[in-house]
Amino acid sequence: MKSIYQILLTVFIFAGIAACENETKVCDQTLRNDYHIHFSRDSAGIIRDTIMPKVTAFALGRDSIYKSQPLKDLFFQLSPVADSSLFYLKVDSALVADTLKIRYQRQQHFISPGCGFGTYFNIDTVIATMHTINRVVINNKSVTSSNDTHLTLFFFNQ
Amino acid sequence: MTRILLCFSLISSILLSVAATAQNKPANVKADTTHKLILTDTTHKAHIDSAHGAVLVHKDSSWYIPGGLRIGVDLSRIASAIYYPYRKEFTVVADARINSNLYVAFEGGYANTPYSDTNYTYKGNGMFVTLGVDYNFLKRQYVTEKNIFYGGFRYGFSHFNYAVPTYNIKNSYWGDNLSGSVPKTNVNAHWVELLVGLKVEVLKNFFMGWNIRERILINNVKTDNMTPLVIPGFGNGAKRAVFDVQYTVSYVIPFYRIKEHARPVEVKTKKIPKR
Repeated sequence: MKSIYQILLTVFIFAGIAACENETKVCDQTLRNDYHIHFSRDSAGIIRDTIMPKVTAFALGRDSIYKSQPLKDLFFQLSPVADSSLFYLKVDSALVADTLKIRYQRQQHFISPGCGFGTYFNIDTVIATMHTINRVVINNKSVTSSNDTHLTLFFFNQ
Repeated sequence: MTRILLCFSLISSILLSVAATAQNKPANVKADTTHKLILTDTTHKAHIDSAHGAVLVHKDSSWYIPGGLRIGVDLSRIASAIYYPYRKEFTVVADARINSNLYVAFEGGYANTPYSDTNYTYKGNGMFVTLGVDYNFLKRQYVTEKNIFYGGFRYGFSHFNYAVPTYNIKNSYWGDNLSGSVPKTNVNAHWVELLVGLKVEVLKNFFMGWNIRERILINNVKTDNMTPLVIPGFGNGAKRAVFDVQYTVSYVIPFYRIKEHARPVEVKTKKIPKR
């Protein structure tokens, strides 16, 4: 009987410590739900990931997100107060720039007691100019996490 | 530092409660004058079955054990309210003995959940009840012993409401601050609980005890855009299963007794080998 009490006491102490967790103090989930764009090329049916050498990107009328840097993925923050966001994208200094218009629906969402509220996006359409972009593929319409790839841009082979 | 102190105070109070269990003094028998032990029925003497050599206790042998309604409060909610300022909860616990080892148990209370930070403000309140049974595993050392080491089961129900009067979503890149609100929403929650714990009579009819419990939510209380911060009586609204502790002080009102019958006991005697 004594050993049962000792086991119970040990369990109780650990449980008491574990119970002392204030969930409003920590934001244990990521608030980032950026629009994740991946770069690819389609060479006669063979799809390959590609790194574009000098990527410059920004939302029209806003600061640069990327400035002449080699990238194979882009992360854009979508506007939480508008139903579309327009981005400038130049993948090489020698090439003509493209624009990317992303139209979506927004939903405010309670993330966690520590993180508060955030916005989830549901993509309706993606409209792109076709100067360097060959085609666009929407991989995931629901933008709730930056871990998913939401869009793949296929570039012309040079 | 505050967290460590609170955890330490919680654990030390538990230790004190467990230490009290060591006091298995039959002194309570003397103190308990309301329930006098009724001796076994002596009018019917036990008869000896001489054919089989077994002693059988007569069916009429019975005595009274103390019953009563035990009412108390959960003190762990005080520590909880200090550490979690948004969890202001008051819990009444009660149980009543229905036979030698079985107790019907009730808990009820009220919770208020005010919370505010730079991102949002939250208001919630509601009531809860749980109903169930506790079974005592502790073997009595004397007839009037009331200490129990028990396992139990509960069904819990809570009716509560919550609202988010204001929230802000900040976006560093776009420089936009989006604000909004969530209207008042009424919710019912159902859950089941499994628990194990102790209740020890430290003074006459005055008990201290603790228990640990696991609660499992049966229904979904989340909506597409909101999760309640706290479900009154259950705990964290974001989780399907929560662990909790209670530290109770209670007083038993001994207004009834329970008649207990002796179980027929067969005492085997040594067989004398035939010569």
